[in-house]
Amino acid sequence: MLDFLQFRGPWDVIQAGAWLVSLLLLGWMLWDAIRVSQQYGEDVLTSSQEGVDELAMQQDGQRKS
Amino acid sequence: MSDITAGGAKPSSINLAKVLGPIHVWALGVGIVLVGEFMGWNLSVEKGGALGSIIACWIVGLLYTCVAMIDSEVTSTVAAAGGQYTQAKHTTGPLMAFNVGLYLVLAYTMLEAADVFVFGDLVRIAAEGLGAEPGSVDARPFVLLAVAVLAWLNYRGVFMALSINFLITAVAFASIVVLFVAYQFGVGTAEPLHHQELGMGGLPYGWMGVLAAFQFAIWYYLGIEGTCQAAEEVRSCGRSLPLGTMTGMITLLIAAALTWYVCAGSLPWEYLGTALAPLYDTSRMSGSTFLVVLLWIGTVFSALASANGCINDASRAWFSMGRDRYLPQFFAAVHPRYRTPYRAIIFLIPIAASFGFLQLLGPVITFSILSGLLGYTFMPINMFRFRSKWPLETIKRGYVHPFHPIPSLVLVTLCAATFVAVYLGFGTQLLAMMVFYVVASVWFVFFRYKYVRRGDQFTMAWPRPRGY
Repeated sequence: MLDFLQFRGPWDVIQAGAWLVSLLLLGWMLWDAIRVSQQYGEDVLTSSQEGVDELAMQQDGQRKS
Repeated sequence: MSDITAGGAKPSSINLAKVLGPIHVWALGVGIVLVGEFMGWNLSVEKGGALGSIIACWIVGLLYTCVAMIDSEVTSTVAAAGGQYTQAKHTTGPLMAFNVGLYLVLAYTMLEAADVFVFGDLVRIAAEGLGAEPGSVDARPFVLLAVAVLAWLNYRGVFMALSINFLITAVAFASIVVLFVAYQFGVGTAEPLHHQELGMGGLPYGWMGVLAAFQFAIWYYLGIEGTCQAAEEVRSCGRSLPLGTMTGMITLLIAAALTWYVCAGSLPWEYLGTALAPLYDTSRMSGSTFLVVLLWIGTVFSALASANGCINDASRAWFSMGRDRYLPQFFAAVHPRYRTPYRAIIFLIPIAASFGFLQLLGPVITFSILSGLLGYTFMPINMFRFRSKWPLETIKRGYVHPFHPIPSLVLVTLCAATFVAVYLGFGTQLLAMMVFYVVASVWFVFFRYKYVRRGDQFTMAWPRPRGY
């Protein structure tokens, strides 16, 4: 049943490492996405506006101040 | 914008980060494409012979130069993610925009699947070369690893993702230049190039063979139009986008010419037309271990750079469609810390990984190419409508492409010729794909269009279009 844990050579270890690292990274992204969704409201997360040039706005603000 | 605030206070709005420069645009465009120099383009040799392949390379290069010029002008005024999708919704209409958005997402996601499959297979080949028992190494963990690492990079921020893309793309490009220099000047190579002796002199299947070669000559350049997906994240859209796109196109024309020159001069055209990795095979013909290792690294890096760029572009297109409610608004979320479209990135991971696992390289890449070709066919329409609705004196453009309407007419003519070539080789797939897009369009019109924010989607501070 646990045949996949029987390593026959270095490439078996490398393959197992690739599965493990992949699952860890994918799991971290999912965890972080869920965490962010709990911390912030949907209206904030989806508030980005197309065509808004924040750099130009910052520069305008600096010029005015 | 009142987004990320000091002291840990929650932001009231979050936009994508404007952190990119021209080299990132170059890395995005060339990075997606360069894998086509390492594999794929050589199938054009099978159709048209070595001479037919280079003729097709130049003609299709003209097609893509027109694409780059048109894209550069329109995108220099549309500083928004989504690229051609965003252009389409401004110049043409919602149904065209929906279709263009789908072309983009599918072209990039399928190309990403092909890239990671190639990466997994290269690792498997290397393992067997290093002594692993044939058939004992599974490519799938490396396919998933490539998807996971690249998606994680993109999740964590666009600046790092595209900075890495710049480095690995530069190494891959340099490997082609080094191979050319080695062969041309006889440095570490066993034999010189001999084009004439390898059947360079004629067109084995005549001009029909040259036409048939068009569909594979696309591989030399497929994806350069992806630079405009970065429009919302570059610091100076009007300057960086045209600069990065045009220098990227020049790089690809050089890479294509060098690739064809060394491969056609060292491999018989009958073999070259069926080889899996022609540049790598050419390095093996040299007898130099250094060149073999360098070209293996170049091939791996080009596949990873392409997959990385595809994740970036597909997620921006998906994100933009979500923002306009062409898709559920859920996908329009931006990460408050990393400022990336994180939900779109995560959503597309299983699609790319599963197609990479299927190991159906041919159908996957054909779907990608056909989707890309449909997108190119839209561009001349886009350009004509853009110039007629907003003539030059009405909007300040970061770049104005010369000789309008000649590039648009050339582009539409070459697209028509390439569709004929595709029909000759992949008629069934072409028709199946058209059916898919028609069904998707019907779904959009009857079930999704009611949710679209029809007024809000026109975001550019442009004057009222002429005639309205």
